[in-house]
Amino acid sequence: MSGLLNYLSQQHEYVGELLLSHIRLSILSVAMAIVIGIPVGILIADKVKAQKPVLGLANVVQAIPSLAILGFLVPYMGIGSNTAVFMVVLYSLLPILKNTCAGLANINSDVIEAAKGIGMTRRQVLFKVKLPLALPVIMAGIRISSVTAVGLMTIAAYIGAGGLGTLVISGIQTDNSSMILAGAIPACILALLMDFVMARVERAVTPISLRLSASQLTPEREQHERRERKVTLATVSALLCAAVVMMAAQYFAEKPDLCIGSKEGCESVIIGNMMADLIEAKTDLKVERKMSLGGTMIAFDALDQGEIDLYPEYTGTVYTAVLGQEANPGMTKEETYEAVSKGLKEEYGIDTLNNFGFNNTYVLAVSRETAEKYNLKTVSDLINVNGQLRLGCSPEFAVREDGLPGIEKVYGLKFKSVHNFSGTLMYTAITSGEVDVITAFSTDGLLQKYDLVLLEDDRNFFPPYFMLPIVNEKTLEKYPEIAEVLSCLDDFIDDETMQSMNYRVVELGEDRAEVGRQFLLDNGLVTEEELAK
Amino acid sequence: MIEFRNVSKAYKNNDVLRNINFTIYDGEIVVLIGPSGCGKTTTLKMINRLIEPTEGEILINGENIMEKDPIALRRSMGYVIQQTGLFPHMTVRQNIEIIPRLEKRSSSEIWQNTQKLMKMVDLDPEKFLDRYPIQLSGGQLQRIGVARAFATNPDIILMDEPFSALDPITRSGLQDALVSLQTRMKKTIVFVTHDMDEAVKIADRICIMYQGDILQYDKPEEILKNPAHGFVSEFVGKNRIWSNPEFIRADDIMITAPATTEPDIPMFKCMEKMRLQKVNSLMVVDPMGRLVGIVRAAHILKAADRESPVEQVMVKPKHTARPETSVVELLQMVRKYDIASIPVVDREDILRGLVTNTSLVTALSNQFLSEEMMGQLEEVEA
Repeated sequence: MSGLLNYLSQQHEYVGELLLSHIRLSILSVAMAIVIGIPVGILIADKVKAQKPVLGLANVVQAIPSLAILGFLVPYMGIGSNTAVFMVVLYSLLPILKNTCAGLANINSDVIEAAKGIGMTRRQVLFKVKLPLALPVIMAGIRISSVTAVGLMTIAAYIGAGGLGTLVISGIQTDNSSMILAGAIPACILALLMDFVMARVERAVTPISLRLSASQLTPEREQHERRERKVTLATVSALLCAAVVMMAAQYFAEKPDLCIGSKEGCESVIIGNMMADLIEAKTDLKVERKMSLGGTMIAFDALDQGEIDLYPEYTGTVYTAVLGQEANPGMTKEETYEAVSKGLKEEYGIDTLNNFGFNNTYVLAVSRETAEKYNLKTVSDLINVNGQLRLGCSPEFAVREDGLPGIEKVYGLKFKSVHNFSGTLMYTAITSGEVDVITAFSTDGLLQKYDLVLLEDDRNFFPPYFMLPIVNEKTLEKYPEIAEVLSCLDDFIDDETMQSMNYRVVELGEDRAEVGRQFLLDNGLVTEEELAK
Repeated sequence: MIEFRNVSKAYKNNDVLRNINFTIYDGEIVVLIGPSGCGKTTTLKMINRLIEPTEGEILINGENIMEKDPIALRRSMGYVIQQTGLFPHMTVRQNIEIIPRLEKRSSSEIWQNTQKLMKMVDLDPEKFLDRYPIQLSGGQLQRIGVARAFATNPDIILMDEPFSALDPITRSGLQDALVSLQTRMKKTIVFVTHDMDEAVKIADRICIMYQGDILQYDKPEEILKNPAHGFVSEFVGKNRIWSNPEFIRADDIMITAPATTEPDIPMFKCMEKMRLQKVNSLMVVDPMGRLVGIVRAAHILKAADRESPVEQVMVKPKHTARPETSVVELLQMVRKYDIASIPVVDREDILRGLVTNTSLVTALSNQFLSEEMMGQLEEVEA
């Protein structure tokens, strides 16, 4: 708890910014859902034939998991807030659509008959009679949508749309519970607040004669209700105006020259921010940052479609996941770099700059006691204790050809048993003695914390995962100074340096951007003055 | 004047109205009546084009309504339906003023009109204008409905079963109010109901419909007395007329050829005539047929000279009735003056007939006996 307060006091500006963007995106989504949902609802309310397919479609969309929808949308719409808003609109549509239909359909037909019969036009019947009577039901739909939107918008951070989800996701990745809570708690409060405000609005727009019984309708009560209604509507209008102003300001704000992204994952974000800091410090370019863009494909698609211009990627990942090559044990760092550089340029028009120096590949790690007990230094040494040790690894590693099956084949290894863990739980497992060997990443900050011994991959089984900036060739053509500025990082960061930066984030709870900036300053790559400009 | 000319309405294969022809005259209350599905509501809704005819035309004051703007047409007539027709989210005032406001009339004009309308339907504006429909009783709601229909001062008012959801006492009060309103305002009112009592009570003319046809369109009295169709008499009910005895006239029950004599006829001849015709009095009429007196056997028996003309002993008729005098009034006269017979004369005093105690009893008993006897018959069979 004190960690959370600490985090909030340090990062209140950042959290506030994310909160505002969360509100902005949620309001925008709900507003769009209203603008689409209510007119469509009105159109189909008295057309039973049209109602079935439209509501059916909305129902189907509702049933699809939100992450899956994002998966469908990203290849077509790319990353960023537009896609996020589109997704949330899809989900917000159904309650509004359904309630608009239901609200209109449940009006006593005699009332509508009377309205027509006394000579009201279709428009007048709609606006003076149907909508006021259906409004409470429609508002209930909007209320459901709003609360859903606030919740769903947290997922938007996966595709770089911003919002409070950014904190939750970054927090999960860096095992920083204060950060998770700093995102989750405001998101909860925001949802509850939204529910409260919308409930008030729902009340305010319900004609009092429909809300109160005849005996409750005293003149004093009516007056009280009218006053309350005025206050509610004025407050909500003011809030909406503020939101619109905010959105307009955002829209007309200066456009950045360059957008730097990163995948999720601690060092990606550190390096991404480091590059952004460098470029901002050394050039006049205005840089926008879109960090933590989920997995490889999201970030790479964003680069490919020009939504971001530059992000740090691993050679091994490009080789297998992007270029679709089979993992090839024994391939050297240079061979991989050549293949990646050529493939990206030819197939995607993406340029590769130089390696930063660290290799974040799979390693097998054992505790210091185990290492001493069995005299383990390399992976080959494990053959001597075949069938005696228990392995902890990710479910993915256990089945991948370039994972456990491959390593067993190449080294001729056999483990006593294999246990699946995800993320940092593996470290807990090896510390508590549940397993003896774990797979880890060579730059993992936790390796230092738990004092683990890394076994050398003496047969080059694991492909090299050197990180390097990959950049859109058009961007590089337009701003050739980028390559020059970033060259100061060439082969500058080794595994241990990266481990300790990761450690500071994961274990000490420091901010990723801050850790990167500190590194630049400590090594004299930038000065305080340059950063401050 | 609203004219239906060869109007038909069909939904797919279902004929709702079949070639309807009738005319509604200005200033009359016309009641459309019949069992469910007879087409009465369809007919009503055609007048304001809520439903449009498949064939035929409807003219208002000679103009085909299909050539008019439906919105203007509807605003030129009032429309009242059951109490739910009021807008629940609006106050009484907003309900009444909705159309005038939509037409952007000046607010002072609207306000005065609203006050007037509230007085017209006998509700206190101070007390009711700011209330919502849920705060009103059924009868009050219906009065507001009527007020709203009158808000644009239309010549025609359409009423679709407006009173059917009300309790009998309230309904009866509203029917009286409607008749008195109509007498003052002289609107043309088309009124749909399924209640024959209501129809007879308020209608100037009743239009009886059955399965899309008009069976009879006539004044209530005519319909009660001379049903044009087996279904009509069945629908109206055999003894219906006894719910409205004012429709039974002297004309209907009198002896049309009473025994008469002339003033200069000798008394003994008159006695002879009484004996032959088995009566104990004669109407004395002049050669023009005018009633000049009544002579009874008792008068002649007391007379000394039976050769002298009858005019010497006849008495002037004190109480006479007209052919249109209702049976109710006749009974009142019999009771009040303790008389056994009432001569029926027209405007020129010409004798048309005679209502006797016997003819009254016969007429009244007819209605009861037929039913009683039916009952007895059934008992015997059982």
